Order: sequence, then structure tokens, then C-alpha cells
Amino acid sequence: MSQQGSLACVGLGMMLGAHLSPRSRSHIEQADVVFALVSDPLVELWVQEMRPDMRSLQPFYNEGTSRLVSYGAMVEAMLTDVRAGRRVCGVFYGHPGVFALVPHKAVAGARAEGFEAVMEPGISAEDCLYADLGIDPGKYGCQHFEASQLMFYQRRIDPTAYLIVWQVGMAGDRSLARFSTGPAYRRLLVELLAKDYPLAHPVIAYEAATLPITAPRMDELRLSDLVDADLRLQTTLVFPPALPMQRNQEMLDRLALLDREMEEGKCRQ
Amino acid sequence: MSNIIQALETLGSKAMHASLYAATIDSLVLGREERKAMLDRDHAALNELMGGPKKMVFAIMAADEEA
Repeated sequence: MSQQGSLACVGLGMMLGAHLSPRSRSHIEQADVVFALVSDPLVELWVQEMRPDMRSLQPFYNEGTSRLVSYGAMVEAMLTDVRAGRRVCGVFYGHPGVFALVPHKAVAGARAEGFEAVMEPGISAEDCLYADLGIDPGKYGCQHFEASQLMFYQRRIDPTAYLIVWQVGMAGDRSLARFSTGPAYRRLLVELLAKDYPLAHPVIAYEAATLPITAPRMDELRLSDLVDADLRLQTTLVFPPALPMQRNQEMLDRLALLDREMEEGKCRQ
Repeated sequence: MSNIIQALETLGSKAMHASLYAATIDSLVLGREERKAMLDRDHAALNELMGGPKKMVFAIMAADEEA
């Protein structure tokens, strides 16, 4: 009987040698076929050292072609081997399920066709960001948006919480066929954000360290600086809250009333 | 495993005080240029020594799946 194919999408974490879980490493070592998409050439070489037969997903990108086409081809490449009865491992930088369409689509596609598919979490850029910047997302709350999505759709930003904006280097790219946009596009993003933040509001340009010999990028800028700032594919913007949280007195009063009723036995839990 | 990748993997897995960095690099099996790039924390030089690609694309999120 032929072997049933399966898929495991695993996260490498952000830093070479520092973040890979034993379980994800085991998937990489035991798979029949390993595909990889990582953010650093040396990290890709590290995966290649673990699996010399590793297939990089880099060649699927083609500037000028919609990334949705590339993503579909990446998913199909992995599923083709799953259908052929192989144990396939997709290795992705960071966490394979955070701001990552391809692993989610691949796992869902494999399951829809009746194959076993799992996702193993990894340490994401978001996790590194909290540690490096000393931010606790629970302190004031934290909103995350993909930069272009923030521009394309009507969203409600809460300036009393942290705001984290991803993929800012490609902000405003409607074609999904470019790997970067420029100042003119960022000017529109700044205009949008200036509805909720003063132009002098601090913003941190953050990039997680991918090698143990390098430091994370944590450049403090102002909102107005973003137009001409060096913002790359891997840059994430972090906006501290601009306003203090406002107490919801109406809800607090209702809760106090409820507490009293509970104490007096007037109300059932 | 290449010396550079092995050294990076070792460094990545170690809890190490910054003051011990140079001594740790000295203890690793590295060539002269490799050691210099490590001590200089020169990512680009290491990549050059390894012959890695200069540019990586790694966006795997689409802002608008209906685009």
C-alpha cells in the first residue's frame, strides 16, 4: 500500500539557531520533501545544511506577476508532493501562521483533500518585537494591520492602543506585483494615519534580528518622517498610543449595580 | 556543515553575555576572513563568503485576496 501523504508547515523563528523548536526540527529532518521560504540568505543556507535536498520557494516570486499567482503556485507545489504520497514539510521564517497566506492555504488545501496537515508555531517578528521594544500588548491593547489593507479598507484605528503596521515597504501596492513602493505611496499612508495621530507622533521602525551576530533595528522616527524613511519589506512600524484610555463609566456603573444585586441575591448567575 | 553556518547556529543557541562575544568567536573553528566578519558582525560579508543570494523576497501575505 502506498504511503499516505501529509503536510507540516513549521516555523523557524526569526533568528538562526535560536528559535527552532525540537518538534519543528524533527518535521524538517523526517520529511520526504522540504520546501523553504525564509527572509535571510544565511538562514536559507542553514536549512539547506539540515536538508541538502531542500527546495527553495524563492523562484516562485516574479516581480511584475501578482504575488497571489506566486502564492498559488507555492501551495500547489507542496500539495503535488502530498498527493504523491510524500511527507512534505514547508519551512517558513517566523511563525507560519502569522501574516502568512501560503502556509494557511496549504494546510487548508491538504485537509480539504483528506490529507493530514499540521502547523507548528514559531517565534514570529511580533514576538521579537514585544521583547526588543519592551511592549506588552495587554497593557493598552494592540492593533495589527497589514499596511496596504489599512489603506484599501475603511478601518477604525484606536489611538489609545498600540498600532502595529506590517509590510510597510509595499504600502499601497494594489497590483501585488511589486516588492516595494515609494514615497508617494507612503505620503498617502501618512495622510491616513494623520487622522488619528499628530505628524510629530513617535513611531518605531522595527526589524527583528535574523542572525545572532546582529541587533534588531529599532529606529525612532516621527510620523511625518515615514515618507522618506528607509522602509523595507521586513520593516514593521510600531505606534505607541497617542491618547490615554477613557474609562467607560456607563459600563462601570452597570457592573457596580450588578455586583450589588449579586451580593443581595437578587440576580442569578 | 559549513564553518560559518555551524558558528552561527552555535552562537544562536547560546545564552551569552556581550562581553564574551570575542572570546566565543575565538573558540570557534573559523578561517581568517570568516572570523573577521563574525567579529565585525558583518552580515553582508558573511553572506558574500557563503555565496548566498543578495536579495530575498519573503512576503507571504496579500493585503487583498480579492485583488
